[in-house]
Amino acid sequence: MNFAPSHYRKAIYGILAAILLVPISFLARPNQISKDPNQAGEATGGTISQLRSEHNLSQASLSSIDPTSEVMKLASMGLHGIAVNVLWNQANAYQEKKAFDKVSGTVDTLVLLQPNFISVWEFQGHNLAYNISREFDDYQDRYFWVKEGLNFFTKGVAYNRRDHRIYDNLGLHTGIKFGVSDEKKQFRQILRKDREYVDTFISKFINPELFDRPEAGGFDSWMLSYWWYDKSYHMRENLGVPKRTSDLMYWVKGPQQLRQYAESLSVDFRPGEATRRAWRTAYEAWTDRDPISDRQGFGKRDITTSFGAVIRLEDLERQVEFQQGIARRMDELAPGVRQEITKEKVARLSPMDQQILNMPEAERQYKEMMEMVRIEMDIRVYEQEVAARAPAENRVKADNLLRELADGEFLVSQMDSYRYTVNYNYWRDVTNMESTVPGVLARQAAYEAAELVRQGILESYEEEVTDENGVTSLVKRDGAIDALTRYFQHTSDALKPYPGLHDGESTLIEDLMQEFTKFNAHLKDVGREWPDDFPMQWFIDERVRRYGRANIKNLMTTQDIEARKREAGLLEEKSDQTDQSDQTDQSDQTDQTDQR
Amino acid sequence: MVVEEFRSFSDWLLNDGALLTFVFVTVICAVSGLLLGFVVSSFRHGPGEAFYAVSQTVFQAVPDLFGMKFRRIWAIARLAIKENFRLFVVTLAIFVAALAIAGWFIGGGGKNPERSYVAFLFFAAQVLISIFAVLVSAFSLPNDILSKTIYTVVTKPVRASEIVLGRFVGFAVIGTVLLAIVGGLSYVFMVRGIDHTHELSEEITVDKWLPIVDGFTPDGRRPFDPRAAFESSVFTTRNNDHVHRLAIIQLPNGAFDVVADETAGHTHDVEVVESDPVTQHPKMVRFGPPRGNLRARQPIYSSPRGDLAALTLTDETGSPATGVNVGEVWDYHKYIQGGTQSTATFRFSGLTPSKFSNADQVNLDLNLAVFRTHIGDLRRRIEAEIELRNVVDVAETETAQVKSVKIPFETEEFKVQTLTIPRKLKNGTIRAVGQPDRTNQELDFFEDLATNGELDLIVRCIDQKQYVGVARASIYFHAGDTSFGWNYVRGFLGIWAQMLAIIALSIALSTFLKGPVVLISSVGVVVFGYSANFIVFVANSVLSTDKLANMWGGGPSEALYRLVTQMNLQHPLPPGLGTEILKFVDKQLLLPGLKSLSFAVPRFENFNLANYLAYGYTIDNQLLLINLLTAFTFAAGMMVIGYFCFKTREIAAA
Amino acid sequence: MVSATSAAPAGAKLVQTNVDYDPNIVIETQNLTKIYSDFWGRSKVRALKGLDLEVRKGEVFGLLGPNGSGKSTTIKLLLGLLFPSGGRATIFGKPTTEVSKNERIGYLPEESYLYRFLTAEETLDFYGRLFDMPSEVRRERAAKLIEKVGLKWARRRPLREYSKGMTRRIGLAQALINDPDLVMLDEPTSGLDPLGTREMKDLIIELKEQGKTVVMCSHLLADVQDVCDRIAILYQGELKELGRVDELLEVTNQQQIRVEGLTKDAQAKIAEILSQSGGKMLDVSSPKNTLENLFLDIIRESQARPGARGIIGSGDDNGTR
Repeated sequence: MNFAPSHYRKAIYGILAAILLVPISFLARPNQISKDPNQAGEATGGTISQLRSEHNLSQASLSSIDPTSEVMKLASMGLHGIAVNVLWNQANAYQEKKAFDKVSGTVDTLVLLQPNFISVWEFQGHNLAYNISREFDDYQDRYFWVKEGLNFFTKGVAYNRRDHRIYDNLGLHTGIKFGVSDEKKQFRQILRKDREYVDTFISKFINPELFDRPEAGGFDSWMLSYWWYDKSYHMRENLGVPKRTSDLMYWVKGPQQLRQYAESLSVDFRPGEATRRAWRTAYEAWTDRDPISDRQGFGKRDITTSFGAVIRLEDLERQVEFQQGIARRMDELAPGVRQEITKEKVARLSPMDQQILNMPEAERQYKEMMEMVRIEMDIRVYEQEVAARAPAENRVKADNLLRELADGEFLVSQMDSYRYTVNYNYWRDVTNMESTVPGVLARQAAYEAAELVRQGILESYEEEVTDENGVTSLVKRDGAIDALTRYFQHTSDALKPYPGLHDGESTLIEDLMQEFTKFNAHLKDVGREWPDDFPMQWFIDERVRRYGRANIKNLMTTQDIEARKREAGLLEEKSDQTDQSDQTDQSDQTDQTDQR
Repeated sequence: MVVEEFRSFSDWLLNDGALLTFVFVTVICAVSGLLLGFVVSSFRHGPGEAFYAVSQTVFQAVPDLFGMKFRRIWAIARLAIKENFRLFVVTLAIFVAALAIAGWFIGGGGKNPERSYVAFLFFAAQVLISIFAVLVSAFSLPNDILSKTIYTVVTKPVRASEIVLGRFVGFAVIGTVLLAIVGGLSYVFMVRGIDHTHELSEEITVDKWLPIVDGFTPDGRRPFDPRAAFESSVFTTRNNDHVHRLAIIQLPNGAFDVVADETAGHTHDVEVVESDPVTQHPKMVRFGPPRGNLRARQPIYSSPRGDLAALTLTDETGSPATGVNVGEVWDYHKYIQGGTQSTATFRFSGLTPSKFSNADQVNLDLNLAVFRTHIGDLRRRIEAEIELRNVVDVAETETAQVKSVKIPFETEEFKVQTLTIPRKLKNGTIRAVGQPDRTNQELDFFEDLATNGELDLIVRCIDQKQYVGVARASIYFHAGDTSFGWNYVRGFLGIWAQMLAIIALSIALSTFLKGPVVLISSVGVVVFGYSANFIVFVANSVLSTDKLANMWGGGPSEALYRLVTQMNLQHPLPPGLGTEILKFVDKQLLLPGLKSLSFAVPRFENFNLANYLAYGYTIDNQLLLINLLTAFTFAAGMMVIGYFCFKTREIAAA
Repeated sequence: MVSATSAAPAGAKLVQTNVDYDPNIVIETQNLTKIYSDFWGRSKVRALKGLDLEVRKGEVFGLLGPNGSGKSTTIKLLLGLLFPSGGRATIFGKPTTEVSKNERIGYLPEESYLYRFLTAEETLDFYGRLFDMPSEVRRERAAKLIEKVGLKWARRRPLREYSKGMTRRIGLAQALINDPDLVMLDEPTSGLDPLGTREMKDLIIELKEQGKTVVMCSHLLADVQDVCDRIAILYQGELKELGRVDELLEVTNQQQIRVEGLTKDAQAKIAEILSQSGGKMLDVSSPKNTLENLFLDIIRESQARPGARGIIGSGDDNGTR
């Protein structure tokens, strides 16, 4: 057989190719997909597929392998990007032309081509649940399209098994769309009985009993959103899925839903023991341990701040004590130095400032209090100043203390600012206050008052009631005004132990102010005067003292009551003694508020 | 259903200038053809000889035209059919395969499944038939010439016109048969895909029947049927990706009737199998086949009367206006403000009792848009009212102005709402000139209001500060339904017309080009046909003088420059000669050229009438006529071109 | 000069339309030239230069010439498959591009370009239709022709399964489907076995006897010699020789005498007479039978008596059979 030269060359190439096959097979042997879905991604293939599963990049580990999605990707023959681009434009065009069923059709095809891009799921899910549902006039259509958006997200779960943001979005949209939107009353009412939707679309992910609450009249949207977040936490804590969002805004969500649940219970239904327990759960989940899912409470969560420090919001008080401890150790190292510096600074104050400084805190009016803030800054003693004057032999220890102090201060400032971002203190106090017995009684009274106002019964009345064995007796029934009085009494008892809630601007205070104004209006309707013994008179006085009359024009303060009494000539003879007693009453109250 | 433009055949032909364009294009083609012929032959044989040859060819055309014999045409047609039978079978196989795979993608879907079915099937049929038409006709003649089998045909007394026309007839026949089979298959595929039935997921015990209290079910839903007395909390099983609710209706004669709600575009007849002995509430029911999803409504739209437009609006003071824009990008709907004098007037004509099959009631379909400026009571839908008036000529004063009572109704956005107007309307008012108004008259819809078929329908929105959006197509009288099957066939007529045009096109090209070149050029022309609307849009917007309407990124060559240099659209081109050239090429050559070319090619995009089918409307005859005429004239034109090219071609030349 | 003919009534036998047309001249060409030019009109090959030719009715006219001499071009020009670059050609008095002339023409191309997916019957039926023949006429003629060309046994098989000879025969059948007055045969006998060639020649003679005009072009001189009345010899597009076959082949200055039963000395006497009367005797030999006749005799014999045939004579005695 005489081989022509070309044949030789071909033979050599063949052999070389065969030799090359060996390393290739080791490198690129495909993964044997195990039948059991959750074992998918076990590294059985060559080095490349092992590397891929190590870094969780293999399609099997990223998401379940969906035949239609694979076919679609193949069908686009590499023109993947262009096909996706066209579909996006088409979806927008259909939406502009209000052909919404075509929009959802196009979007379904779109995610087959881009299953692993979270922002695609987020954008289109939000688009369905918000933009498209808003276009409809009938609330039942809006409800349908909100469910369309949520179902769209549930489709994303299978494709993104290693990304918790899908569950976050489900929690976010369920919570807000059903709980906070204009149509929240209607949506929540329908959802409570929408067994068909729950069985078909939710039961695959969450056991319906978990959010089927008798006290909330059936399936509750807030509990549903809570459990969506819980699934996300399950991913993060148990499946070790990497973190994709900032800690603070992530761990706040679960407890937030519980609080919203408690809030909705108190508004939608007649508050009772269940409401109190709901507030209690919210409080515990907010601070140290979530009783329902037995996960760490929000306060106990390790939160890495943007500066890299790892803090726990609940530790702020402990950290401040620690700081004060340092101040004490500093004084031991430099006895008497702090008082000297304070004296020097006070001396430097202008006579006016010194006069305000010495004035008892109770007498300071609004503008003096403003001044006080500046004065305190001026006379504040910094540890550095104390350390500078420490005796020589303690100088080294003092400097170490300074460094400890600086770190401590940094942590305190971080915790303070992060607490402020999520309004941590306020919500801690509110949930705590609301879960106390007076808190619930106050809510009950408010609920009854609202009902009575709706029925237009302002005055109390007697009603003939025949009990079971025929005895009729006159029973006194509260009118709206008396119910409101009861409300204020309980609120006062509930609010007193929480000075933090008294000042500043918050929804609680706004609601209270509204209740005072409504109460005042009801009184005028029935021609009654502002009561002398108004349970929360101390609160109103405090507000006036702190913030002046700016937003409480028509409400009476204690001074106004005194003046009214004087006019009515009741009080001339004992006008002088009562002044001091009033004085003292107020002062001890204010002391309480000063304790931080 | 969104109908953006109303084209009647006559005004399309005459005032839209279709006839004019046709004549214009024919003349241009004829002249340029002769000129080209003259130049080429004078190039070869000198001008004198060329003139003789050209005139001889033209005069020769007459006997060729009249000498044609159907038997010969049919012989060539039969030959063409036999030749391409295999391709026929292959294409059919591909379509069946496509249907099988499509089963994956067209899920039932909660919404109207028939829309996605129709959209897919028409798209698949259109693409497949176009490809078949091009493939079958592109290679037929060139191969004949290449394999020289044409010699034995041309040496027979067969005219060039017979050869070209014979092929056209052959491919038209084989195409029509293929289209018929494809159409039949797709229809069966759709009907079977949509057909389903439900059972009850569980027995409906008495407590499962929720009483309707002041218009709402206990769980806050509005009952799907306003006459419902009870609505079941038990659903049907989930078939084809949707469920139905059930309701008990109290009929005027006191009897109970059970109905299923309309989801995914259809409902089912419900037959009570077993009912609770005490309360007569049904316990177990059986469901019939789906009803109402495959339909073809016959709408009578409003139409212009004299110089009055079909739909005119007035603003809150009652003076004519163009309607409020509530900030929507797509200004299809014009909005009128509630609680004011703002009205929308629809002018109808041609309303005769026979059209409504002399029923004692007239159905009016509404598809209104709604815009809330304030939430108001979410549970209550925006209310609007309609009033019917006869048409009174302002000048002539004898006839009295007859007005019907104002009929209020709750708007249902994004749904086709039906208002049944009884033929005998009570408490209408008649206002004659110089006489006191005669109120609460009984009016007959046809005699008093819609005198000689003309009627004005006035729409007002009742809710203060809320808006109702109207468009010419959003209110129409529903004169009845034609059969969906027949409408489906009319849909396929559009595709049939397109197929004929494409066959003629590629045969004409195949008379003077080689096989593959014909394939590419006819695909090119078809694609150009599909994108003609877009090209005209780009041309108009780039060439338009009003700066606002200018398209970002300029014409084709400018866009190419931007693509290559990856410059974004808004960035102005660097000044200089290059830009001048680009602009010149775009503005003077490319765009005007493309725009005028687009008149020579039928706009294939308009041939797909699937939208009407999807939304359940009968395909308008006018539209069908326009498509058929466009396709036939195009085909005829191509045949003439094919004839001349084939005639002047030396068969035996290499 | 032939003026532009008015619309000839379709289908009727060709009526003589222009006055000065002499019906016996079937084909007439004047200064017919054909220059193949490329796309840009630059002339490349001068295939035919100024051919003047006349073919009379009823004769068998042969066009001879080596390959590329322009004989196929001439046929194609006459059939209208090519357009003349110069001069004119008329058939039955009509210009070649006139389609109605084809009613009376039958054309057998070089290779028979027939549709391979049709059966013999379908082919003849198709071409019959092209002559606008009603179906029964078509069927009857097709059957007769198939019988005539001896393809009855293969009439239902598609042409792609036909051998070269069989396709040539069906090609001939299609050329005669319309009982043409003029038959144009392009290389009719090329590629046929001697039996086929013999049959083809017999057929041509038969056509001639039916009064049809036959024009054939070929480079097989022997076949042309047998059948053609007049021939034209082309070389590089130019007409070199035109005339009757027998006249042309006659070696004028030589005579040939064939005699039987002559003794040796008689031969000597004849030789002597010849030389006295000034003739010069060139050769004395006994005439040879043509190979074709021998071949055909053997084939016919074996067709009559199938089975082995003894090898007779090893060629030393070549007496005529």
